Amino acid sequence: MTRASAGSGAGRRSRRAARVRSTVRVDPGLITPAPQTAMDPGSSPDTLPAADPTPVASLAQASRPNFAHASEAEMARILDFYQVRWEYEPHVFPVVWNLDGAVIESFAPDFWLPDLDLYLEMTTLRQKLVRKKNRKLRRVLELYPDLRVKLFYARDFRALMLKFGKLGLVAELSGTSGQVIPVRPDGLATEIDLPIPSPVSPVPSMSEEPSQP
Amino acid sequence: MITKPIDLRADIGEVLLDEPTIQAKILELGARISADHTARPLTLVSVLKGSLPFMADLMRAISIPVRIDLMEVSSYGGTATESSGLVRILKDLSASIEGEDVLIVEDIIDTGLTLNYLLRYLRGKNPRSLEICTLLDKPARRLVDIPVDYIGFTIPDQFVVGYGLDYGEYYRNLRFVGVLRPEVYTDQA
Repeated sequence: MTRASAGSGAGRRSRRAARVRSTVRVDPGLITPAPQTAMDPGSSPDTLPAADPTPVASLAQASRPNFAHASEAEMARILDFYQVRWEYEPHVFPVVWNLDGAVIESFAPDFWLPDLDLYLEMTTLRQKLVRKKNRKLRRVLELYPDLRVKLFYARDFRALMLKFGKLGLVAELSGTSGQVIPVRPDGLATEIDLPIPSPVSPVPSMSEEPSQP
Repeated sequence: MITKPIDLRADIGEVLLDEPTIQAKILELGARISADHTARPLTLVSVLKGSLPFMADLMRAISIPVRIDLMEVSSYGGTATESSGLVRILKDLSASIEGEDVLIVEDIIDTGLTLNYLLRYLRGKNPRSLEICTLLDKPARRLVDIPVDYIGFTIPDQFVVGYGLDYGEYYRNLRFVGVLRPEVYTDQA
């Protein structure tokens, strides 16, 4: 599996940004492309070999994005496994502006699955703020009605782990224990007060979800 | 580590689909599939292991000429393939499907990740047509939207076993589809 080339990635982002710009009511310059790296499984639907039962590409383990949460890293591994192309937080969508027109709140979905035209937002943290997250998503969909966003709740993640026989890992991949300790510029891990705030939005939580596998 | 359950039935919290209900639906699906494919023979491709009972019953409910074939695809988390980090075809088709009308027979579609991969793989073998039949559809879990041609039952977002569906490779031999009691998997997590 190889990383998407700079040229093709930029082109894809450019095309995507152009498409988003055509459907929203905001300053197009406010949609920020690709702050994080993109992974390309190297086998798009068009290039997957027909007769070879073994997938062609080998998974590139080097150069992964700095995931904010262990559940995101696990989701990336699952998407890689099933050869679904993804990019990590490639786009930022402003949702609230102040009177001066400056963006004061944005939404940056965790994953963009370009072949599926789908954004995936993982919300596997605490439960208290899930209503806020849902409200934010409703606002996003008002502003960007053509966006396809799937909120992936803790219950969804738990069900996925159950399906794959990895339920025992849920505790360490979910909630505060699954958060990745940020690394200081000097390379040393920092002590943190959990939860870690997202760069664009408050950390969501799960108060609205029913208990599910 | 999942230990072998002694009483399979005792681990079921609720029977979602009993045997007569499943069999009636399969007869209905078989009749529909037969009516929709009168012009040409059909190749049924079953995806092991879960769809085995469904395949066995569905093929006998279809009245037109059919060939059958079997595939097996590795699942994420499986110990045999986890190190590779990529889905693998554990068992490929035994005959060419080029120019054939193919119907994929699935036990359940939830995330759609496996089926999405399988569709891409099979399309590369140039069948004349490629359709999907699933006994169970769990749309609440869908990540990949896939058009499904024949759906037996749309089920709620619960973890189900039986009639081919497993938990830790057990419960496949139940003749019904039931909801696994949560304490079964939470105790073993």
